[in-house]
Amino acid sequence: MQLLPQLSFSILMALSLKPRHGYEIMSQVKDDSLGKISIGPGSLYTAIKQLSEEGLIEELSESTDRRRYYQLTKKGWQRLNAELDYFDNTVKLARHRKAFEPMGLLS
Amino acid sequence: MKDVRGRFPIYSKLLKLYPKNYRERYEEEILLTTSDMLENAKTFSEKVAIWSSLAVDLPLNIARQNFNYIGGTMHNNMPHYVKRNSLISALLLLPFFTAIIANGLDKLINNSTLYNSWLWGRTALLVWVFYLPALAFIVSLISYALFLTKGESKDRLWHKRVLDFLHSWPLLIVGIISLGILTLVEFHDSTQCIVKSPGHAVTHAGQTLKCVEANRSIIPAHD
Repeated sequence: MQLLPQLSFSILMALSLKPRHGYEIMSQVKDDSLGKISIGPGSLYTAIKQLSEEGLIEELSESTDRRRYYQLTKKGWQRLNAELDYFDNTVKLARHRKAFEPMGLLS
Repeated sequence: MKDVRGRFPIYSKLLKLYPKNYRERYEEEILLTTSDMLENAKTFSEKVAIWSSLAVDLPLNIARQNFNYIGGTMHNNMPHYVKRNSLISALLLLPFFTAIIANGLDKLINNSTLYNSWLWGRTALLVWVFYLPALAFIVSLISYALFLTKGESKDRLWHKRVLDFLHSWPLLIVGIISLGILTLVEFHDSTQCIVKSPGHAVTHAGQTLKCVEANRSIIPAHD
């Protein structure tokens, strides 16, 4: 499995809570990354287009206003879980190797 | 959407640089999201920061979407023979560029040239400097003629096909490069007739032509 780009993964994570429109996705991504990932509308919709074409997200049919809401598809959920499994295993491996200790990131 | 457009007239105009299909799908959303971002910015400096990031984000993604669009068009809609024949022509030009680069590197690294090697021997030279580029030019020319006459959609007029660079650009690029090589080769030895004294070359056109004729290149006239 090829890992998703950071931005695409962050968007899937943002949509794992509930369907969101563009600005909400943007804000959630910023919050989730503690302000480290800040995206512009151009990059956001480039990523949204890519994820839609890959069938990982879809537009919610009953949008209440002019904004379009996006949600994860079944394939999107599977992909997000696969990515999280990978990261989970990586963290477990890092703990096993005590890779965090020198910098004291995790106990 | 009119009101959002009215709020950001220049930004809205710049969004027109996105490919049409992308714009139709996402233009309004981009404008609404930008509007949300600015409405939620509390201070003037936050607004400046947003506009600064947009100044980087927008051109970058316009370029990316246009590349995707051209790439997608090339992949999906460009006739197969255009892709194949452009590749064949490009391969025919490969020896020319390889020899020129090898000679340049030799000059740079060893301070010598390949002029005395077999590559610059008359037969080999004619092959990579003339016959192969000429063949590349003929292949692209014939393919382009085919493209003009045998267009994918029959309702399109031929003069519209001439302007359809999106589906023919590889052929045009390779064709122009091969023609450039042939011109360069043909007039390589006679450029001095013009470069030495351009003014004189123009006022004494007869003499210039004679000079050019006398210094024509390596191509068959020397045989």
